[in-house]
Amino acid sequence: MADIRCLICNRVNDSSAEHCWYCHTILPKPTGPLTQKERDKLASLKNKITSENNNVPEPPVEEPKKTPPAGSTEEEVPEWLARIRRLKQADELDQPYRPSDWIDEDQPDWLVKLQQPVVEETPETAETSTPAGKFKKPALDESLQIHNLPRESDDSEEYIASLLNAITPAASVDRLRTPGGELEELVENGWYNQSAQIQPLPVGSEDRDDLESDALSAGVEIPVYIEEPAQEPEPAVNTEPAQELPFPLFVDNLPDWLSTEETTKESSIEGKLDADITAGEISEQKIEKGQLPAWLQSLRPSAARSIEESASESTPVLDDRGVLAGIAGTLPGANLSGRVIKPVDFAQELRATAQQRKNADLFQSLLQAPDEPVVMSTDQKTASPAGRFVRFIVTILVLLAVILPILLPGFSVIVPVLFPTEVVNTLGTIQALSADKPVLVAAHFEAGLAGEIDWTAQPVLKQLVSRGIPLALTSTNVQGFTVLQDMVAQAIGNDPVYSMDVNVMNLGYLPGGSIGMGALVNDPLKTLPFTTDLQPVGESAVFGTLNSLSDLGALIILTDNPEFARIWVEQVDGGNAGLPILAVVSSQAAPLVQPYFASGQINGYISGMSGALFYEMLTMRAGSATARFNSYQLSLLLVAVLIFAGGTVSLILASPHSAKKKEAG
Amino acid sequence: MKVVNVAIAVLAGLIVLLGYFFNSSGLHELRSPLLDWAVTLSGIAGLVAILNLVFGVHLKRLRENHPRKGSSVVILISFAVTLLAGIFLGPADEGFQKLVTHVQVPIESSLMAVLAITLVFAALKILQRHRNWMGFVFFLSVILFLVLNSGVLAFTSEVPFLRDILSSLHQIPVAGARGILLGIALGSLATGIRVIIGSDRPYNG
Repeated sequence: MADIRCLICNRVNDSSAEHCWYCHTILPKPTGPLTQKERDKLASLKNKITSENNNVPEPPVEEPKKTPPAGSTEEEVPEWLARIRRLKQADELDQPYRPSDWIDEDQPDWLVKLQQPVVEETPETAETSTPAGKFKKPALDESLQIHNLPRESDDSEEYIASLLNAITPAASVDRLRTPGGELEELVENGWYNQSAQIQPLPVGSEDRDDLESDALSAGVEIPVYIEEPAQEPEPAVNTEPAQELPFPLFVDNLPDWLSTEETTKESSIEGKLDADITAGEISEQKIEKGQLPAWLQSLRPSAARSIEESASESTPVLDDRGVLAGIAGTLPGANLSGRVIKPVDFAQELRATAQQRKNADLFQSLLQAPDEPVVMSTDQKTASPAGRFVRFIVTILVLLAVILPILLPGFSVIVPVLFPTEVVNTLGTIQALSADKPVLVAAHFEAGLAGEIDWTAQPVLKQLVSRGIPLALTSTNVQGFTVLQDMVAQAIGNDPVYSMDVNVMNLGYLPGGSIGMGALVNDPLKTLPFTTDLQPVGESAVFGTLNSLSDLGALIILTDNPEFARIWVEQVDGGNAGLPILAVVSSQAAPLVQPYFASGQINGYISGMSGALFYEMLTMRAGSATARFNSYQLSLLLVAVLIFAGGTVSLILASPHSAKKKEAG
Repeated sequence: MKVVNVAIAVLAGLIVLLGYFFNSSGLHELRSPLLDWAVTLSGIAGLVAILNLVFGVHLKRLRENHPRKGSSVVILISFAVTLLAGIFLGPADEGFQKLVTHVQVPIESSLMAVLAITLVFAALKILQRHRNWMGFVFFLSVILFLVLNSGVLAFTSEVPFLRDILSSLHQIPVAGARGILLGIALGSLATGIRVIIGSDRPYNG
């Protein structure tokens, strides 16, 4: 069976294969028998070639098959030789894509050697040297014998077929022109003969038409095997050498008389060659494009790509590395050098956003040691005489505002009529207390504010004493429990029922701040086991059952520091929910305690002189607040007036206009 | 040695802090002795300070014939009387308590009175030193709240519009107080963290 050469990768495939084993391209199907139209075309081509090459009037189309043209020159040349000439001439015309400079530049030695003797020895044309033809005939026989080609005595059909099969593209000639004389070795080993027998015709219908026309022009009847070449494919044996059998091999062994004829026709053939190259290329392109399968065309992004590009792309790939190194035809692995995904480079340094850096800086500034306190300079100027006079006047006015309302009984003030909610709630909480449960009074205030705290706390303490509620006193600062005990003593006064020794227990100083408060909330007897006079709390009839703060009736906080009010609220609210908490605070701490009252953590509070006045008004018991509120109100109004007047005067005196005048003066 | 001090302080702080958040008997047993030691140490530290004041300052002035040695003599006599009364009468004695309160309370109250006069005088010159919009706001705020707290605007309770306005003005200090409380909380937190991590070392002297 004859093999089929792929049009794309130029590799030989089995004739039974439909697709190329290498590139999967659809292989060309074997051609069928010639139709009548093709026969007519071949005849016309034969006439055309004959008229152009030999300048002989074109014979009728019907005649060449049976009657050879008569002529002196034609009679001198044997018929078989004429056919060979025509076939050879037709083969040369069938190679339009052979570059023209191939003859001029890349002529091998054997071709140069062949041409030179021909020119010297046969100056005459081959057509006019009839004796030479006879003389050269043995040489032709030798060459044919060398190549194991059938001779004249052989069957004409086999002889013509061998000649036709020996024709190969010019490109194959280049591959055989090896410097080591491999060509002769191939010939001697019989490669040529084998290839001549099995050489397929990798051409289309048009090429076959040309060949057939040559045969017709030579007066040879087209044999049946030419008309139906694909019906019985010949067995494939050594296909590669057969494909590479060159046409110059035939030329190399031509006799001298035939070579002379070649030189005489060389100019005319080459003249036609350029013109035919274009037509040949076009026809070849048409052939190649027509043979491309649909699936391959769909894969091609551009239909304008040439066959050469396709051929170059189908070049076998050789891997130079890996397990497939050196093996042709393997699919190369994808070049992943550009696809390497580098792992994220995690530097050792910490990457933080701007916001994180800002927060870190803020936190670092918080953790840094506080700056050293700025020491005020003692070289400040003493006050001017005018300043001293103003200070003296202010002092006198404030003292008068405090003293005059006390000294003048008829001095009336504006009494508020709206009672604050926190005061009302405080009164309601105290009235709701049970007389059986003691009330813990926790104090934390400085001695300097003891006067205000005393005036504020007296109404509450008096009400508790009046109701006979036991009191437990403690303080979280050293001065607190001493001042607190004095306050309670004032509240009791001369009450015959309520006794300081029986109903009041001074637990003394509670150390530890918030920790001590928390411990007191968890276990009061263990935290403060003794009173200030070193009596055990557990032995008391009233306070002996005090196991936790839930046993208390209420917690009353006396403080001028809102921080301690907050701590007490936090500790008691976390451990003993439900224990009423009341607060008696100074005026400066009232705004800071009010949020806890708004949130419900404190049931009520009394703040300052005004709060005490409201409480006394609610209980309808005139006390220290009622007696001193006039001084308090007058002092506040006087201070407000002084600040307003002083600020206005300062604003006028320190105006930019007056400052400029002062500088100018 | 500093490392040991820091380690002891940090460990004690962590134990007390954990006992503050977790009501565990084990932590309570550890926390109570630490608290007792802290109270005892603070009392000893106060005693050391008193001894330094007596012997290191005032007795030194007497020995060196300092020009202000008269005040030093009063301080030494007051300290001796109070110490002896507290030792023999006890802190719960009524006489001892009157001794303390009748001395300490008037002194501190007089200081508060001086502070009040000083604040009034400073308020007179507030616009002389700070002539900006913050100074004006402070100036008007002081006057407004002094008048409000004096109670002279009690008649506004009969006027619904003015009553609502004054009621809303009373809430302004509450808003400011909440901000102050937040600042105090943050400051306390930062101080505690500084001590626990050893950044602030008040025990190093």
